[in-house]
Amino acid sequence: MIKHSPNHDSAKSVMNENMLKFSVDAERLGKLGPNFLQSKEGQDALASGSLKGHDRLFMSLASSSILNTTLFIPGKKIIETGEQFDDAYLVLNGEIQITQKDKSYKLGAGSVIGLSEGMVGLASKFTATAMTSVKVKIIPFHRVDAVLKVLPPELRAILVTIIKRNLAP
Amino acid sequence: MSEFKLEKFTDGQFICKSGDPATHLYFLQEGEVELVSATGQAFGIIPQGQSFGEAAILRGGIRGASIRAKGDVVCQVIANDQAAELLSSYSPLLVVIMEALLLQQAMNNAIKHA
Repeated sequence: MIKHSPNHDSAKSVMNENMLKFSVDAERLGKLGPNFLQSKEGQDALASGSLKGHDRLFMSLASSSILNTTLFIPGKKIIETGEQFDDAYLVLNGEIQITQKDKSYKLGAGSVIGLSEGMVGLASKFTATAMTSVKVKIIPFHRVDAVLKVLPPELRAILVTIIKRNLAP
Repeated sequence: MSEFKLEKFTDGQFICKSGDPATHLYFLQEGEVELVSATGQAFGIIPQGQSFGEAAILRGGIRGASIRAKGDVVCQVIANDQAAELLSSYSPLLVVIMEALLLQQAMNNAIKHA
């Protein structure tokens, strides 16, 4: 577990519940194949910007064999406000509704749910609910913690930097 | 941590520029750096003890902003291929964690700017 000093909450505006705030085109990326990123075509696509950084990350994570996969049925509350949770999730397909205070919005494929929060042991500040059938890769925190224990300070600091950015309001 | 090399930069020196290939990852050991827009406007500061250029983990990634030394700066620097090897050497899961954190960062940026 990485220690973290929580930031203050800022005023939140009401958001459109039906808006899909983040999603990658999982179907298109899936058709590119598992070796695309290592190919010259893949490198050219990254260099030209036709393949975005988040597309590349999704493709790499979605093809990872070290994470298990599960399916949430529509209506399933995946993470609930105020609760500690044991796993973070990468959405492979489907839609999730996030509700947090006066905010509500949808997330699609490529969304990472609860990773930074869980890595510093925070209770969830949001509820994540499956709106459709949602297929996810599971990132268990007990496995994450085991890796973090052996990291040298420089690598740990790099992870902490990204976590702080992710938790900033 | 022999893979990291010390590099020093002087006040006002650009460490990397927006649009350049992301070839190195930096850990800010001493001093602080500014994030600089395409028009040359500073829009943020990264303090000592933090990292920048994590996009280097993405082979073939492109810098999203320029970074300029604000005062004299000392960085620990590692090339992207060495960084990927270093992460893998600790655990394949560490690569997954790093990629997932960066993807969560991209998601959060999209949410903030939607």
